[in-house]
Amino acid sequence: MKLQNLYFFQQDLSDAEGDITEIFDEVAETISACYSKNTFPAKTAIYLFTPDAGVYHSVGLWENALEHGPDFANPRDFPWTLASCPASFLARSLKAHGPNTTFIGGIENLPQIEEWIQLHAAQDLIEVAIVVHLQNNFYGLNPATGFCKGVVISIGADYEVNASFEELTQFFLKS
Amino acid sequence: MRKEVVVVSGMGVMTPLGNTVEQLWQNILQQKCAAKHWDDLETEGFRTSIACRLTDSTIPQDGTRGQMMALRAVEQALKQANIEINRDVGVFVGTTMGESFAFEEAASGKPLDLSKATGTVFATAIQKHFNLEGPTAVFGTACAAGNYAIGAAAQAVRSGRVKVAIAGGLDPFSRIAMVGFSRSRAMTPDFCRPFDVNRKGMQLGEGAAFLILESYENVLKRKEAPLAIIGELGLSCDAYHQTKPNEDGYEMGQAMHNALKATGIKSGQVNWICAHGSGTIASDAAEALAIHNIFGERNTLVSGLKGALGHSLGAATAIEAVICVQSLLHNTVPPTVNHIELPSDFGIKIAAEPFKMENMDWVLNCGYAFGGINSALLIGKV
Repeated sequence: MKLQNLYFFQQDLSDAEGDITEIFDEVAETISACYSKNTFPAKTAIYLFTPDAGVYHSVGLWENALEHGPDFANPRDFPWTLASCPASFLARSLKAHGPNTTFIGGIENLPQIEEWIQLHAAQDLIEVAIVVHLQNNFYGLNPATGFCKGVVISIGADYEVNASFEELTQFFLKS
Repeated sequence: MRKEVVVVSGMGVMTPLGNTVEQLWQNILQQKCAAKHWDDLETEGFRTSIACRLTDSTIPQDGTRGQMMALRAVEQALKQANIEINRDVGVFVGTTMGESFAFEEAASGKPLDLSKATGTVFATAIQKHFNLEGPTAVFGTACAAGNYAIGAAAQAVRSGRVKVAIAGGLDPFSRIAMVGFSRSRAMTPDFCRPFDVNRKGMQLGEGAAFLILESYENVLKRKEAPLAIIGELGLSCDAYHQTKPNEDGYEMGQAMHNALKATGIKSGQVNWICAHGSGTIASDAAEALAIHNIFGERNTLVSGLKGALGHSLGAATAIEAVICVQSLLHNTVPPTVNHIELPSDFGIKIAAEPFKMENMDWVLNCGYAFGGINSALLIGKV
């Protein structure tokens, strides 16, 4: 599959602290800024892969429950215990109504993502695909640095960039 | 792209209403409800102590809860498929919370090993146990994850990327989810009542279900009987709210529409809708509207299985897919346990009791998740 009109983005999350929604607001802004049209079509899909989304907030919610009791724990960040929360947050920010998928793990998910981009494009479900690799380092969760990087692929573009999915894999390999 | 008809050749389950497919099916038809009081939840201070859990004695203790549930379900599925698997079999898993107890222990100060806690642990356990090296994908798409895994596995078989796939979903009981749903006031204080005028919320469950998928041709070559066809998976996203569905139900309907269109069938060919039916005020109302908009006045029967089984998160749509296959095999629509009265403005037809049909061709398995993630998977008679 030849990929057309690629827009790459990357954001350092190694020192990310503060409100989780503010962090992802910034990620959404970074993605919007890299895309020449800025406004995404409704047929935009998000394919996000992550080894650890939800982990920090899962542990945090249960810590809170242990401290205050399950009936008094603060549920504010409960949605962020789900690995799917970052991708659905980005969909909301970017008004992306296409398939919204979160894969747990790393770049081993790329063949699956490629297969789905091809399928969803053939089914006319997507005009734009956003592939995101998210690794958190919220409050020092990961010893490795945290980052959010990815590529916006404009499926229906009228010219081709000479890139293949293998080359895209190389991009994700370079952290 | 090579196109294959993908079929189910084996199924296995671990659920609060039975640890074999037949046991689960009979208990569903007998309108049993798995919800019961749990002393440990009361002692620990949860607002509600009612949940749908597996009793510990039914789960082998030689591994972690989630891994054991997954392995037992896969063993059953492989046995029914009567297949000797090669190393290149693909493994597709959906889960919401992963091995939740590992996060709970980390909160008490125990070191956290991500490889033993997040959803990948289940795919790795299946690969190791059955000596597999094929492709894997783990879907963290919350309460729709089972549908995602089955849909992706079917596509991998269709495209020829894998010949045989093990696909399903699971979530062991999660205290983190229990506290989250409870404190978000999404849980019912007594029983889950899908699409009922007096519904008060969801009920947490747990479980695992796995299916063996392969091409129709492959099953016939092995001289086995395929159980059902896996149609296409329809997906969409509300992009509306972190937890609430859009009340217009439009994108839920789009997921249904996308599944019908991609499979190439009309809504009138669907005999039964296995609804998400979480029992919450907002989700059931939006889903009823979506079904009405797509299926119109055809009176296609709708059931919600979470009244019987609770909401087993990433396992839910996988368990429901197994029940969809059983429904097709027996031409019987399963009942909506705890449903008594439909709100007057819902415009759908609920199967409150088991309903035997002359013939069933297609059923639609729906599952939605926080963040407006919508899925609908078509399953058909062979």
